Amino acid sequence: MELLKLEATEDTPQVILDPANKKFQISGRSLPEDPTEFYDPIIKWLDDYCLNPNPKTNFDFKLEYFNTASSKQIYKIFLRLKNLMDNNHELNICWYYQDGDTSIQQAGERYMRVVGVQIKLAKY
Amino acid sequence: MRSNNLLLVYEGEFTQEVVLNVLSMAEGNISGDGDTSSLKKGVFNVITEVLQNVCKHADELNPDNKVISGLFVIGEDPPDNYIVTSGNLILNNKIGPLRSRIDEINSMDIIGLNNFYDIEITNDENVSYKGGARLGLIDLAIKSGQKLEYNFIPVNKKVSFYSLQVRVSKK
Repeated sequence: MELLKLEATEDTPQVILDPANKKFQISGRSLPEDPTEFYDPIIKWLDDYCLNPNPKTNFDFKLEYFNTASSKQIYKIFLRLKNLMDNNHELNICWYYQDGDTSIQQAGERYMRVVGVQIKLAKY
Repeated sequence: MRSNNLLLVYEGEFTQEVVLNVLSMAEGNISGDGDTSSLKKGVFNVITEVLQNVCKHADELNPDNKVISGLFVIGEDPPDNYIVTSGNLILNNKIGPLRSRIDEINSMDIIGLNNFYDIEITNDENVSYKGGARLGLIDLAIKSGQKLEYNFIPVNKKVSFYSLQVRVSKK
């Protein structure tokens, strides 16, 4: 699968989906005007990845802020990651949050709860 | 402005660029001594959500006018609260559902709100560009910890002026 890499902007996160280098990460801020437009290609990429994934996928989220419209899109990403888990591939999700940032911390807990995947919550 | 407890006032066009500029200004203005970074983040979240709600959902007097206008104020109600206020025009036929939605949210405690958020985030219905209005208001209520205050002032047969006020406790 081809690499998908997006640089961070003022209102969109950095996205690295790199199976060859085993690096999967979404970081920064997410408040795009049209989250569907931004996230659709990412979700499509993940759908394709799930058809032929690496044996092990370590996926990191390191978001400082995301608006509620983005949170729905991130939920869709988690559903794709859950597909990986369900198909006996090794999946490790790490959800980073800044020390004291209860908002991002609680968001990670929420995704764990509503999606039903194991998420490691890591303070930095 | 400081003596009126107003930290930031914006009136004019609402675009994504304006949202980002206002956020940038707000980041500078909201840094009272002793404000924890968790509080600043909470206020920042509320500001972003309120600003983007105007962009997404406001209407204009002339439906052919694609430029959205509105009003945005960050104030203080010392010593306890920041107050984030938005104002924009809204079609009269949207008032009923919006009022019901806010009243419903205001009737819930924090547990109810979090349950409601869980249900809404997994709900497939509102994944369009304009979708997620309910999720945005629930999020505001959770971050605020207080009732959302709103008002509708009639302008003409088609539109009214809608104002929303979100309080964020400094504690």
